[in-house]
Amino acid sequence: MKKLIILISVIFAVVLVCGCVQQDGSAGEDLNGPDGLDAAENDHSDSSMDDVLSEDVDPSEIDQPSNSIGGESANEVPFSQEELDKLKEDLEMLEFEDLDDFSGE
Amino acid sequence: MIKKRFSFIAILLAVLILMQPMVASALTASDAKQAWHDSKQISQEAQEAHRDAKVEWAADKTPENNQNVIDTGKEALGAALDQAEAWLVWKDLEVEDNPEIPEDLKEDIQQDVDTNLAKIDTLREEVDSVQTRADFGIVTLKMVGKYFELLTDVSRNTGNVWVHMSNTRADMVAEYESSLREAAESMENNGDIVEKLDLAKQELDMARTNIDNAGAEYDQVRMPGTPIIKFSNGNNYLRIARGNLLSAHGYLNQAYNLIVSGSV
Repeated sequence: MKKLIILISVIFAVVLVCGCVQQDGSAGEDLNGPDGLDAAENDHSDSSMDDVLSEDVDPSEIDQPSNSIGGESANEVPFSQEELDKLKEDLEMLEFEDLDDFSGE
Repeated sequence: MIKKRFSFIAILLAVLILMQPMVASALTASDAKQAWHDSKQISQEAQEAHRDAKVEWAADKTPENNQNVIDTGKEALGAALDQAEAWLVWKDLEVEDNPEIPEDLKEDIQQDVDTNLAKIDTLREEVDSVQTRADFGIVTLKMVGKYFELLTDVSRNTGNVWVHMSNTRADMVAEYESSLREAAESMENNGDIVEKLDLAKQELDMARTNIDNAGAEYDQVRMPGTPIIKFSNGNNYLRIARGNLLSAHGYLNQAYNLIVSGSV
């Protein structure tokens, strides 16, 4: 009987661990960029932060901050580069999917 | 020994039965979205099979080919209902745990989802009861009329959710733009930074216009009318708005780098 209880406990533990791993995996998928968006979308949808920067800015014009600490610098900016990057992620997560037509044919 | 084995099997079965709701409740919005995509594929294939059956019947009007037209037609209608159901389930799960969605909108969507899932069950019974080509024709006509009714209310409210979320993102971009402008104003020779911020502001203004246009389109997602086209128009405006916001973000990023590097 003891063995039986241990066996059931092990099954429960495995099921719970599998469930948690699956949930984490799904959450990760949700955070991925948009998929299935049509060609009407802006070109930035598939580009990374580096791509956006390289499109619009001559890298030689921008010096990376040498005096920054944790993304902040001596010039007062009220937020960090990480926060700005997070904003881009939030924008990229916006997704608007159409519905199919149905004719019955 | 045998008694122990029976006990073991009985307990194992009990465990499996208890686990069933856990597995069911683990369905996420992401899974539901995938299920909707899968159902679209199945629906397209079913419609294709029905078209092929009609071609075969036209070439050779045997009772078997006639029955095949009815059978494939019923499958196609059933698959279309599955697709509508999968979309409603996805929308339901999507709003369920999203803290960004206002409660009243969330309740409206969930209520509409429930109402329309019940309508789908009724239509499914009608499809199942089809016996002849005449029955099939009547049910098909009814389905064409009813199909968009199933999706219209939830589409309109989904569009309004997206408008709300896009406005929230636009407000965030506006806050970042204001903060950077404030920082730039305290700097000397800030011309390049202000130029970038002005460009960001322009994109932001265009985004807001496009979001407003999307809202106007979603408000027209109603029956009678062309709800799916209006829904698609709204989506297109929001896709453009999203591009505007990403462009604005690009300019903010440039301004940010110019400020922190002090190289103006």
